Formats: sequence, C-alpha cells, structure tokens
Amino acid sequence: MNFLTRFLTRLFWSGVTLLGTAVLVFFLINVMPGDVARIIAGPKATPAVLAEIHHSYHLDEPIWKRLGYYLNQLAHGDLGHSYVTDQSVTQAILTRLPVTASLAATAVVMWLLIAVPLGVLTAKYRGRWFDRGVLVAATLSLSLPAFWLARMLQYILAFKLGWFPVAGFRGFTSLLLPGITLAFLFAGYYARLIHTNMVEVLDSPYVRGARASGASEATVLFRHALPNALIPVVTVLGMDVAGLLGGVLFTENVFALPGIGTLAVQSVFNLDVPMIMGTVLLSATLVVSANLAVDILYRWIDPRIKGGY
Amino acid sequence: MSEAGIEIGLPVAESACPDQRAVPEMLRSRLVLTGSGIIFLFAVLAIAAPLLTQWHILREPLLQNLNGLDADGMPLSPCRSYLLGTDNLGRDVLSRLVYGARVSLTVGIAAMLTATCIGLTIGLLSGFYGGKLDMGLMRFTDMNLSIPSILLAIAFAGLMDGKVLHLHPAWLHWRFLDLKLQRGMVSVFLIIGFVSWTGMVRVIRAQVLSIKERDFVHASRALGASNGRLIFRHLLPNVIPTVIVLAAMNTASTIMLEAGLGYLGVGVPPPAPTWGSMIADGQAYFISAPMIVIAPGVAIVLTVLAFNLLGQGLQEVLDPNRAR
Amino acid sequence: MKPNRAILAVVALLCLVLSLAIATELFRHSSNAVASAATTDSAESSPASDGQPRRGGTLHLVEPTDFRSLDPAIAYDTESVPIVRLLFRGLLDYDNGVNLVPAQAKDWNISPDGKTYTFHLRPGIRFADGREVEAQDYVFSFERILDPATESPGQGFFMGIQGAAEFVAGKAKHVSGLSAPDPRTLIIKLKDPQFTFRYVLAMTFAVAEPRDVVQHYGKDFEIHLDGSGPYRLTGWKRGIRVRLARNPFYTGPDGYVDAVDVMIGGDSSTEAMMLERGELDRVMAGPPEAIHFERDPRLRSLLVPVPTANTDYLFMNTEMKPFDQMLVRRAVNYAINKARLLRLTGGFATIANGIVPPAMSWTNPGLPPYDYDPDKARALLRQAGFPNGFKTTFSYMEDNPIFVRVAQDIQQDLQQVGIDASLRPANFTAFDLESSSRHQVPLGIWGWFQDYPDPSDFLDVLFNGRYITPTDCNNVAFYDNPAVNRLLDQATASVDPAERTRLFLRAEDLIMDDAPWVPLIHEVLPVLYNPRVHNTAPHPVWLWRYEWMWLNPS
Repeated sequence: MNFLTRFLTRLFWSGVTLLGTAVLVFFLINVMPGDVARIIAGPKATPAVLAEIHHSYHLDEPIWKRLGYYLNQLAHGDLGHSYVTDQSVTQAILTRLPVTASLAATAVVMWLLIAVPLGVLTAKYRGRWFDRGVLVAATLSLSLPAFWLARMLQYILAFKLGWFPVAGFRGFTSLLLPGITLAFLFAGYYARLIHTNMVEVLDSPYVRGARASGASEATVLFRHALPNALIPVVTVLGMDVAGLLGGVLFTENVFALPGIGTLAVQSVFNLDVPMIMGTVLLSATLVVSANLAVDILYRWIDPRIKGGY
Repeated sequence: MSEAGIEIGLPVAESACPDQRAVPEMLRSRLVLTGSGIIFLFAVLAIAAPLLTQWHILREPLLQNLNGLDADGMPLSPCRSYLLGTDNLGRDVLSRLVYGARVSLTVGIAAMLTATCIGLTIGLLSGFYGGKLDMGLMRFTDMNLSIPSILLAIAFAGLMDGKVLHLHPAWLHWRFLDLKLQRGMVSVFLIIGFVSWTGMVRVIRAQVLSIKERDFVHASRALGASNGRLIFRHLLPNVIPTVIVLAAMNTASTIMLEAGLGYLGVGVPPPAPTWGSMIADGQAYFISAPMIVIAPGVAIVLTVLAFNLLGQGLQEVLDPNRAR
Repeated sequence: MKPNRAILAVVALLCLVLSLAIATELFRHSSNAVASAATTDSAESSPASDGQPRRGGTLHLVEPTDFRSLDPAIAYDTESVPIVRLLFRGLLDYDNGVNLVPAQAKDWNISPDGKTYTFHLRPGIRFADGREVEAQDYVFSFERILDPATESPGQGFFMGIQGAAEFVAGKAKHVSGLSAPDPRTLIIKLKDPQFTFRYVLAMTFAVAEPRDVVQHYGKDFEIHLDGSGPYRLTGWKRGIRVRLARNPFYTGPDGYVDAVDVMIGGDSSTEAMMLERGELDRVMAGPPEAIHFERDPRLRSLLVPVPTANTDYLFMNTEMKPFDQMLVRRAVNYAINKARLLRLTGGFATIANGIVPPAMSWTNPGLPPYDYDPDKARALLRQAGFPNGFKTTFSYMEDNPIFVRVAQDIQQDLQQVGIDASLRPANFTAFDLESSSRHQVPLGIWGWFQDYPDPSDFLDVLFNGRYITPTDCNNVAFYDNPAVNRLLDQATASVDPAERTRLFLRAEDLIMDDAPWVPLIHEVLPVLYNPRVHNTAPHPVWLWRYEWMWLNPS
C-alpha cells in the first residue's frame, strides 16, 4: 500500500469518526425525554421561539429525515443557532477559536521548551538525584487540578508580583501566564516521555555506532538521539489534544480568556444545548484533525515506517 | 490527561499466574505502600466522618453557621476552634474536607468500576472476536476519544434537569427502570464512568490479542473449549493484572474529573461538600481566607497523586518488563 | 524500582503547600500597583470630582455576563441602562440630583389641565450617522415601545397616552396622542393627567431612535445601534467585548473619555484583582471584595458606596392566615433585629424604617419605627390568639447571597418569638412567579428598585389594591385598604406637588400602621474605581454616569 492509499484510508476513517460523533450528538438531543424544541430553546422558551424551532428543525417530520437535515446542515458548516444568547453557534465558535488556538500553541511551545532539555538531561545523567527529582515532579504535576493551579499562579505571579496581567485578553501578554499554567501541567509528563525514549535510543546500536565513529557527545545527543526520541512525542501530542482541550477549558475560565473553553462553561450554566453540542463537535473535529495530521507527519518523519506498513 | 503513558510500550506480562508472585513484591514497593497508605488514610477518615462528628471532633458540614463568621459576615481565619478556618457560610473547612473525601472517593471509585466494566467488556470482545466487531468497537472508541472527557461530561450534566427517562417500553410499567435524570451522586458517577472508559480499551485489547495467540489458548481451543470458557477461564484472569493497574490510574482521573465537574458547578449538587465546589465557592474569598481554596486543592492533589503512585507501583510489580 | 520517589513526591507536595501558605502570608502585606497609587493619589485628588476635567483615554469596564440588550426599548437593568445612556439621549434628563432638566428639548411645557405636553427640540442634534434628530423620530420611538411586537418592558409606562390602547390592540395604525406638527415640535396628549409622566420621558425608554435606521435593520438594530448620545457602538462581539467610541456629532458638554471598552466575563474576585492591578477602571464588587477593600486602609479610597433607591422587605400576604391579622403583622415587625441584619450585608446597606427609600430625596418624617422588641412581639401574638406562636413557610430567592443570609437570620428571629418558619428557597424566576400569584406565598423576602424618583413608584405600584391581579402582581402582600387606595388615586390624579406629597405621606403612615411589610434595608452597592478615574460620585437616579467620568493622563 502506498502513501496515498494510506492517507485516503485514514482520511476516510477520520470522516467516519466525525460522522459518528455527529450522529451521537444528534441522538443525544433528540432521544432525550422531553420536548426537543424546549431543550434546544433553553430556559427562555417563549411560544414564538418554540414555533420557530419547530419549523427550522423540521420537528414534525420522522427522525430519519431530521437526521438527514441535520447532517446536511453540518456539511454546510452551520452548527445551529443558540436561542439563549441569540447568535449563530458557528459564529460564536469562530470568533473564539483564534484565542483558544493561540493559547494551545503557546502552551505547547512552552512545555516543549521545558520538557526537551529536561528529558535530554535526565537521560544523560540517568540515576542521579536530578533525574529522580524530575520524575517526581512529573507525577506530581499530573496530579494537579488545572483550575486550582491556575488560581494559585494567577494569585501569586499576576496579582501579588504583577509579572503578568491578571485576566482578560489584551494581546499576546495575556496568554503567557495561562500558557505557563498548562505548561506546568504537561511539561513533567513530556519530560518523562522524552527521557524514556532517549534512554532507549541512547542504548540502541544506532547511537552506539555514532559514538564509535567518533562523533562528539553533543552531536550524538542532539543530531542522532533526540530526533528519534521526539518521534513518539509527536504521536502523543496528537493524541493528547483532547486532554489539552480539557486543560484549556479550565485555564480559560480562570483567566477570563474569550475562547472556546469559556464558551463551553457559559453554555452549561445557561443550559444552552445547541452551543454545548457545537463545542463538542468542534473539539471532536479538532482532535480528529490533529490525529490525522500527526499520523501523516509520523509516517513522514519516521524513516522506519515510510514506504511500508 | 490521557493514559497514553501506559499505551506506549506496554509489553504483555510473561508470567502465567502473576498474582501469586506479585503480592509480596507489592508489599515491598514503596510506591504502592505510599499510595495505598494515603488512600487508606483518606478512606478511614471518610468512613469515620459521621462518627467523628458525633464525638465532636468534626463539625456539622452542611448547615450555615453564623458563629463561624466574623462581625462583617466574612469567614474566619484558621484558629483553635476551626483548624483550617471557615467557609463563606461559617462551616468548618476541615470537617467539610473530610466529608468531601466521602464524596470524592465514592464517586471516584464507583465511576472507575463503571468505566472498568465497560472498558473490559469492549476490550475483551474486541480483542477476542476480532473482525468486523473489533473494527466497529474500535471506531466507536475513537469517537469517544475525540471528545475531551470533561466536555462530554459537562454536556451530559447539562442534560440533567429532572426529566424522567423511561428505559422500558411504554406499555410495560416497570417503574424501576425509570431513570430520573437529576444531578446527584449516582448520575455524576455514571456520567464520569461513561466518559472515562476509553483509555482502558486499547490496552486491554492489546493484551487480549497477544494472550489469544499463546499456546495454552490454542490448546484449550483444540480441546473444544467454548468461546465463553476461553474468555472467562483463560483471557480474563490473565488480563486482570493490567486491569488492576489501569483501574488505579483510572481512579486518579475520575477523581480529577469529579473535582472539575464540582468546580464548574455541575457535579454533586449543594449543599453536599465536594472538593471541587469548595474551591469554586471559596474563590471569592481567596484574598481574605485563602485556606478555603488551598485546602481542598491539596486534598485533591494528594488523593490523585496517591492513586497515580499506586498505579505506577503496581505497574512495576505486575509488568516489570516495562522500561522503568 | 525507585524507592525514594514516592517519599520525595509527598515531601515535594508538602513543600509546595508550605511555600504557598508562607507566600500568601508574606505577600498579604506587600504593596501592589494600584494600592500605592491610591495612597499617593489621595494626597492630590480623591475619586470624587475635582480638578480640571480632561478629555481622552479609554475607560475599561467589565460585566460578568453579557448585556441582554442595549436596545433602549428593551434594556431595563442597572448595568445596561448606563451604557444605553452613552449611546442614546432623550427629551429630558436629571441634573446632579432628582430634578428634571431639558436635555435634547430646548424647552417644554405642560398644559394647565396636565394632559398636553409640548416640546421644542434643540437644533443641531444629530445621530451618530449624521442625520439630524426630528420630532418624528420621537413619535417613532414611543410607538415602537408600545408596539406589542417589540415586547418592550417599558410598554406599561406609556399606556397613559391618548390612543395608546387602540394602537396596542391593533385597532389603530398610529397613536393618536402623538403628533409632530413640524420637525422640531413634539406634542403628547395623555388620556388623564399623570404627574409621573414627565419622569417617564426621562427614562431610557423615551430616547430618540433614528426611524430609518431602525426600520432598515429590524432585529439587527441590536448590533447597529445608532443614537444621539455622546458615544456610538463600534463593536459588539457577543459574550466577549463591547466597544464604544466618541460620537463625532455630539455637541453636549459630557463625554470626556475617547472610548469605552467593556470586557465580558470573569467573576467578582478576578475583577477585583484586575482593578487592584490597574487593568480595569470600574468593578461592581461582591460582598467579600467590598469588605476586603473597606478593611484595607490603602484601598478604602477606591470604594465608592452607591446608595440606591431600593427597599428590601419582608412581606406578609394579607390574604393568607395568620397574616390577615394586623396584630400578627405588627408582632413580626417587632420581632426582627434589623441592626444584626445590617452586619450580614457587610455594612453595605442602611436600615429601612419605611417604604420609600431616602435616596429618592423624599422622606417621611412622621414614621414611628418598629423597634426591635421581642417581648412586645410575643405580647401582640398572645393578643392575636397565638400564645404559642404558629407555623408558616418562608420563601426567598436563593440567587442573591444577601437574601440567603438574611433569610436564615430572620428565621432565627422569628423562632425567638415562637414563629416556626420553614425555609423555601427558589431561583429568581420561580420565586417571581410564585410570589406574584395569589394565595401562594404567605411570607417572603423581596426587593424593589425605583423606576423614577417619585413615591408613587413604590406606594402606588406596590400597595394600591386596585392593581391586584391573580398573577404577575407587584403587590406581593396583596394589600387592599380602601382608605389607602383612595389616597393613592387622588395623588395620581393630582398635578400639585405639595398636595401629592401630603397625600403620599398620609398613605405611607396608614400602610406602615397596617404593617403588611417589614421594611428591612436599603441596599448600597459597593463600586470600586481605579484611582485614575475622576467624577465617580454616585447619582440618585442613574447610579453611575460614565459620560461624566474623566481619566488622569497616562
């Protein structure tokens, strides 16, 4: 099987996954007990609004036809209308997506900046207290609740020390502290991951060969070992998008950033079902796309996998 | 946080009956000891809480207590009568913390059991039968993996507004199959369970796939063992060590999820003391009474850490081939 | 196996906690940006108005939830109205107190019979799109409020206009009482003389709206707001941010800042932190933040208490036993310890001894207060035939944190005199529904904010038995006293301020005698301002007026 076939197959299955998620969401809304129109309208359901929903969602027609309308709507990029906040779901999400994306990107860059050196150093100086210390920190950081950590950091670094803005979005500086919060949570884990891979790679014949050929230690570490160690990291990053989005949700809330996370939380408080489902579908799309991208990237950068499977 | 750490490079346990050799090893592992020690401590406190309240060591956690507020109606700082201070309604933070352990541990473990049941079933069936069933189940798992657990949990929680779901056909009046969709401990742990099983399935399936190919399984099959017998007598016992490790790590994430839901206000409803909602309620008073936020946070960290340590320790014992 | 790892983890965690605790304590006494600015600034200027107003700068505001609407026909809450006032103006306005002055009207007069209002508009007043304001725009605005399709909460205020009822019922295409003989003259005819109609004209419902723009945009007018106020809307990202910039065509003296930026989101403690750090200019504080700022001598000057024309009260349904007996109601009045209640608000309230709040610049000197006297309460109960007290239910709104505490406190007070009141909390919508329906709620806590500074807004609306309806009733005590009704009706019909005052005073005396309520407190809203903001003095009707605030040059 060549690369193109592989890619198309993966694309197809990603599409199926997305489709399945969409159908799942559809049934969640429509099979739940109670008047569907009322669920969609939210708490402010006036008779006029309910009538409008009945019409635009074709609620008088059989469920299979409604599924068809729904999927058709999705294909056109229309995620529905939120009656609680009186705006289009797609519009609301698109306005907020840049902030969430920037935050995620900032966070990833930050934690890689921390994780890579730590991972490399702990692999090099394996067994010493430094190595163990980092491992401890990794497990500890995984056990921290994101919202609690965000509050603590906000209080100490932004409020008391004034090194960062406290909350709100006023440009890139507003993303720094939230990015640090997320980095705090994930850096340890990635450091450990890189450490594990580095250890494995450093023991491999490939690296031993490079050492034997007289390359300097630095070259061995960075030119030969690190790239190979980073390969699985890419995969994990892709799979971890879901986890990252979870952390982003809480962080955005604490720092009052106008992103998808705050949108999701607000819609739960408002019982705004179309918006909640919209954010669910969006995150599914993001995760599936990320997995797809990672898959392709993986095949491209890992010479062992290219060309065959 | 995904349990990807386990998914990568988890080789199959080679020992045929790992449990017997593992127990003494477990007792020597400091990770397991520390982890279970912390859990045991919290569990004992949680179970003993009502008794401790009766003996006046702990105070009443639910009702507003005007004596616990100062002249301006603000919470008290830590002092002799209130070791960790009081919260916005004058209630003793330490007592609420201990009662919160009841909620967190109960929900966490119940959710883990739910998730394990689902994950185990799907993993076993998928790995054993293979083919179309496998593909279908894996696709379904993928779909669930695409949605961040917290978001899915929030979405489910948002639908909990007191309606009644009739799990029986309309003409059959089996009232016990009527599920009242209201937020409470049961719906919360079910929700968390339903969003937490995906991390386990891949690992269990991988395990099942490799065990399936082993000699003793082939032998059993040749002797005419039925599928059921193969699953229950051969696959299941060999999968148990992995499941135990997964369960421990899974509890860490269910407890974290419960705290997250409580923080957002969609977990177990008030006035039940949950660590997450304590942090949420205490945020407004953080500047004047930081303990209301710090204490539950530390409790969450300790408990989640304990389960993580336990899981890692068990992993080292039961799967020593895994690199460190 | 790494034996020490686990122990290290726990030790690390304990160190983390310890350092957090130490850090919290240490930093509690460190200075932060705004607090030090406040101490230095207070030497030069206090947040009250002084110094030469300077134009320029951006005012950074915050709202925890998005405005429901900034359409003047719809906006009706204390956070939206001040923003609407930045965008739209009308015929009349208030001076720094409760007196009406002409705003976009050059002059106005009322006919001797009190039924015809004539306005002459100022020339040169323009909307933000440049078009000059005409009298027809006002006719359009009023008809829009009355139009059932708009669903305006202010519709009731305009029903006194001649022809309004027919217009609302769809029997007439226009309101016969509104006419614009020429572009600068507006004539309003009322069915009956109504003294309070002038106040209605000062409300944000009665502003000028550009009829061509509104008709063009229809529902989208929400985001294309165009008014004749000092500012115009330049952007509204729903749920994220609202931006206002100067209206280049505005000729009034107010409107000092160049732009207003409203951030949407955040909770009260985050907002307070942002204010202390100088990231925001104004924050509506919650009780914990208010008390924190009040206690800290460096921060106290940032807190501006805004007295509101509001009364929070305990109501007793006079149609339900045993509150149908005056002696019982008086007993309840004597049983409540209002001084202790004040403690629960953190001091952000004043004790209410009457119905009409003093912030309305109208006080009743003759009201005898019901002092806290549990013995008297018990005596009255015995007299009424309840020597051992009685049982009842006590409803309240759980959304308001002050109400929650007050309810528990009052329950204890009632317990003291033998009344067993079981608490029934409900959310705002549910409580509103229940309490305004007949025979539902025997005892409860509620509040009322003024619509305009006239006692009729409290006394007539809330106590005139003629307006009782089986549902949606504002008179939640369902109080109906023919003598009081007569006094109130007379006051409504009168156009003589002195006579009205006399009648209202008498009515309030009678009502307090009958005691359908226990007036509890008048709320004071704690508002925090950045020291760089000047002219933050509160206004009795508008509460806060952003258009008069100016900033220190940065």
